[in-house]
Amino acid sequence: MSIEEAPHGGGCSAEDLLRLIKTRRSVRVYEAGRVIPLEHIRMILDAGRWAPSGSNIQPWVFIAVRDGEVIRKIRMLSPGIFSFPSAIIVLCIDREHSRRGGRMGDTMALMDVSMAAQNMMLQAHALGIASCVVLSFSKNGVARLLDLPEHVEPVLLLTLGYAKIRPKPPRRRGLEEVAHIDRYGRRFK
Amino acid sequence: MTGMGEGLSEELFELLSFMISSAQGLFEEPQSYGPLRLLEAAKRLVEIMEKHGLAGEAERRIRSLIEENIHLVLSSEEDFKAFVDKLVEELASIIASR
Repeated sequence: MSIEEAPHGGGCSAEDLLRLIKTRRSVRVYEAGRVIPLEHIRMILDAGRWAPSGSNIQPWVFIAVRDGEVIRKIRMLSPGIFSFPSAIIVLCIDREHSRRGGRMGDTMALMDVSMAAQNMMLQAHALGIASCVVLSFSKNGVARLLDLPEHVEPVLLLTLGYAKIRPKPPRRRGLEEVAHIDRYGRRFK
Repeated sequence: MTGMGEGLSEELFELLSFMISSAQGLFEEPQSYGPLRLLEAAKRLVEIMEKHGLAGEAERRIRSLIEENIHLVLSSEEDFKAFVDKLVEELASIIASR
């Protein structure tokens, strides 16, 4: 089914989508040596590409790293990566695009890339691939390692792999605690 | 350098890289990430020692305690701090018995 032909809601049931969202975990320990098929990497990147963005600027650049040696080197510069993922997607902001957002451009671009990362994590989860978003990495170090041009800034790493340890769902603040209805203070029951 | 020396050298260099890149990140990261990174470095050091037959029961015990409890940093800073205190007590016992 093409995107144009898909019904409103995309043909995906609301229950299925919510289950997908709720069962995604941030996985930090992966099975060693398992390769993610390139077709699955392509689907994950495509999910990121279809994220919303402010003024439809699409300020992102994604670098999918599958080469074990490059992964090892990125890990050496990324204290937030605890084990050896099968792949890493480096999510970057392309400043030549984001500057079209004016003074809000930098903030908007971070939000846009974050939404792309969430799309990717959900798509990966639907494929049985675990993920974890990592902010603790040396940005200038990774930029140097991957030969990024000056205007392309890495802002997030998304590690991908097959879960060796699947964490339990962490505690969530209740809806009545975080959501209000019509005005602040009217708790959502 | 050849053989085991080369492998050990590379593993130690990875640890060195972890420590230096951690130092850079810690200027802006949450305060509790300081102890987190130091404990992760300690764990990685013991892993290298174990791989090269340099770790004894005491080092393995320390590594095991870190592995079991390091996740507390994500759930409760108070529990994480209590664990670090306990780990130091354990370390003191090991030091005293040497």
